[in-house]
Amino acid sequence: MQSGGSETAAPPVLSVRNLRKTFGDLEVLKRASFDIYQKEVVGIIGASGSGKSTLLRCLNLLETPTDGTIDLQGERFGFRQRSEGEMTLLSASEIARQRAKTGMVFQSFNLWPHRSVLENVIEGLIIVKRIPRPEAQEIGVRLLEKVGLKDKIDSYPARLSGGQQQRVGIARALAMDPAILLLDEPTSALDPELVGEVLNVIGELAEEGMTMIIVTHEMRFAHEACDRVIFLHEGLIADDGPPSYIFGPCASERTQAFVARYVSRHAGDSMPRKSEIR
Amino acid sequence: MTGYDWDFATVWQYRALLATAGLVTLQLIVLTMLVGISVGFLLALVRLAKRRIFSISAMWLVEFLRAVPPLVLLIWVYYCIPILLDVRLSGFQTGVLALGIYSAAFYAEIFRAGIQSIEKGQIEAGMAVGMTNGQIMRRIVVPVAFMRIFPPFISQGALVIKNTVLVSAIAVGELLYEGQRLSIHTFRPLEILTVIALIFIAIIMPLTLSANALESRIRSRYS
Ligand SMILES: Nc1ncnc2c1ncn2[C@@H]1O[C@H](COP(=O)(O)OP(=O)(O)OP(=O)(O)O)[C@@H](O)[C@H]1O
Ligand SMILES: [Mg+2]
Repeated sequence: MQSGGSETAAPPVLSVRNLRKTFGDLEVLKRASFDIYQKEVVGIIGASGSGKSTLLRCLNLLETPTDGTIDLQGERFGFRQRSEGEMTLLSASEIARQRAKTGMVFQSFNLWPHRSVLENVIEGLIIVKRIPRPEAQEIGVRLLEKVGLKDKIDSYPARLSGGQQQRVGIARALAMDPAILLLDEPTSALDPELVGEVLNVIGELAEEGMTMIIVTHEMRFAHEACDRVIFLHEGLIADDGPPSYIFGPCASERTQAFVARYVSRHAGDSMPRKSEIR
Repeated sequence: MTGYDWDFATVWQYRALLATAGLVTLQLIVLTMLVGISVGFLLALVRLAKRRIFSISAMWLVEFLRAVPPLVLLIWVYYCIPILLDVRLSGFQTGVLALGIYSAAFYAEIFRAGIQSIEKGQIEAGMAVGMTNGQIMRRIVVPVAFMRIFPPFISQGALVIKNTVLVSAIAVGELLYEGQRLSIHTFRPLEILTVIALIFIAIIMPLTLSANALESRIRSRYS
């Protein structure tokens, strides 16, 4: 396991303070604060509707935070500090530029159906980063090789299995060379027999030191592959610590109850162990 | 057989005249489609605007236009625009304007359906790699929507082509107008109208048939 960056002196990659998000009267996130360090793999668990997706979507500005601050590598995300201490929203193009610094992997893959596998991966490189096509293709091929899809380069998404599509989704996010990879239940839409191949890829990225936040219902994966797990309860960070703590007897009662419910419901899940992920 | 003596030689005599008329028809087709598609695209965007005043006005405009018979609209524009706006339009210009705007309402509905068919996640995937709204529109929404609306888009094109004959009512020298004049002149309406029908078939069928082929290719590849 990579050593969690929290012991090192390096500043956090991502620093979130008092993050709030409301939809009308509904307060979905209630002042979440946390830091993510270089090479950390952080799992987010919590009941349906607890705000996990909303949290992740705020981190790459797919949702505009109602309040609070997000700093990625020291850069204030989404807002500019005005002299009076007031914040103004950045322009759409500045937000787009910042977004590219995070990678997002979606539950439902969201590949572009009119682009081949390789084109899906290099689209952002060509359109956003304006890298010449041959160079972009080289990067794309290398990443597809890494996720085990080199032979599918010219296929279209409709011809791929869910597991293959999600691996393309991961390659697409990696292509932008993000400072942090955000994954929102990357295996929840998959048939059980395809979950392993995707978790293996994520596990390999963890080994290589990719900084990641992964929302997951796969408790065993959270246990085995994450350096830290955050338990979100009704929009609040109810618990935050290493898996040994979150899944152990010292976690808060609420966390223990949640985990126990999950483990009993999903008993018999076949999750790769860390040693198998490698 | 019936006793009618078909005589296409007469039509052949007037081939130059028909060719000129055909050229007018072709210009009408191209310009009307340009107006219809571009105005229709803008209308679709306004229709989908978040501001309700915009979307509702666009909706009513579309519904009015779809409810008016195109011939009525054409003649109305022909007589009313010069009075209301104090501009002089030729019959040809009137035709392009009226039929273009008329078809724009139908194109707008087709484009709207296409744009609305795009899953939110595909747009968000574009945002996530840092694309701007314009890039998302050009690189994702328009091409994916176009793939999906291809069949109705082509059908609408066929309608636009056929509707160009309506401008014969305001004396624009396109195929039907010249054909009718020739019919009176030569007493050969059957032959002339047959030829005109064949010309339209010759324009439209290659379009719809190749569209069918392309559609099945799109279907087998992308879905
Ligand atoms: N765009 C939105 N508008 C209004 N309410 C929203 C919106 N997005 C999310 N919500 C609400 O916010 C709450 C949290 O949603 P969120 O999707 O973040 O939960 P989650 O923890 O990801 O749940 P799940 O495990 O089911 O994915 C839910 O009550 C949801 O209905
Ligand atoms: Mg969710």
